[in-house]
Amino acid sequence: MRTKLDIFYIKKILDGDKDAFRYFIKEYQEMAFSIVISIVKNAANAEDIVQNGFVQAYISLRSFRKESKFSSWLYKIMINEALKHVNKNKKRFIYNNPDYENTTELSIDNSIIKEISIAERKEKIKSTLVLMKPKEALVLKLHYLNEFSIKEIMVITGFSKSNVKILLHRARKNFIIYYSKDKY
Amino acid sequence: MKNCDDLIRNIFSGIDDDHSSNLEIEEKVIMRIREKKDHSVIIRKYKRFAQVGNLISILLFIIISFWSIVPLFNLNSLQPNSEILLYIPTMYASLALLILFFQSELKREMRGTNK
Repeated sequence: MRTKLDIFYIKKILDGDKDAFRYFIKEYQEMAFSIVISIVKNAANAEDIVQNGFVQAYISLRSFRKESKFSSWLYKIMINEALKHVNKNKKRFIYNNPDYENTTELSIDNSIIKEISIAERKEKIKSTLVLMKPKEALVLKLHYLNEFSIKEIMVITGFSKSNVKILLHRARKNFIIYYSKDKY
Repeated sequence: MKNCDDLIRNIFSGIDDDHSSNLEIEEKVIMRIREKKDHSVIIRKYKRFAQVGNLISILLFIIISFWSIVPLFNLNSLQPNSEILLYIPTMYASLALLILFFQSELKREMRGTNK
């Protein structure tokens, strides 16, 4: 249904109706913001990047091939913009590798997780994702929070299958370590 | 790793992704799109101008090349007046400079849009 609407609005925009682009902003801004913030870790920067991403998407709308979903195409633009920002400000983003030796991999008790309130868990997930490297945080978030398959992540990010798998493997390991640092 | 996967699934279960409930970018994006659109009209104008310039430059190049090749075949009847021939490189150089100017303007405009 969404795909049909997407195509309908793309046609309207290409016919010169600029305001039709509002549909895409309303529909995809939240997901775009969520993806971008997992990479840049800062709400103000993420908002700017999402704006740039939408403008970029509008400019290159003619190059969008309808074979893929509009959402995947848009998220790819957002990810590229966010990674560009991270690369530009590399010095400001310093991520330390977690201390593997002093941490047992599964130091969280599975039964305790459910006892903690959702709001608390949400905050903890947020602060853990901030500590992680941009690509690892992104892949982990897409897989576990947005429930995208590896194939879908490949389409959205433009990463290869092996790259996604490696990133996911590292992300799982690092997430558990960072997450377990604060004891319940 | 399977345990790790289950554990993370447990951690994320029941959590929804609601990062941007108060995101207000719609008007800003539409405003920027309008600015970009106006910009693209100027670029299209420059582009057409540069295309015409390129065409003229190619035609002049062909004519000059032809006039330089003709004496090689001793076709004296086709050789143009030598005085006119002197002006052609000057004309060609000024036109080339003009084209270069418009092309650099176009490039500058294009860079402006990508910012």
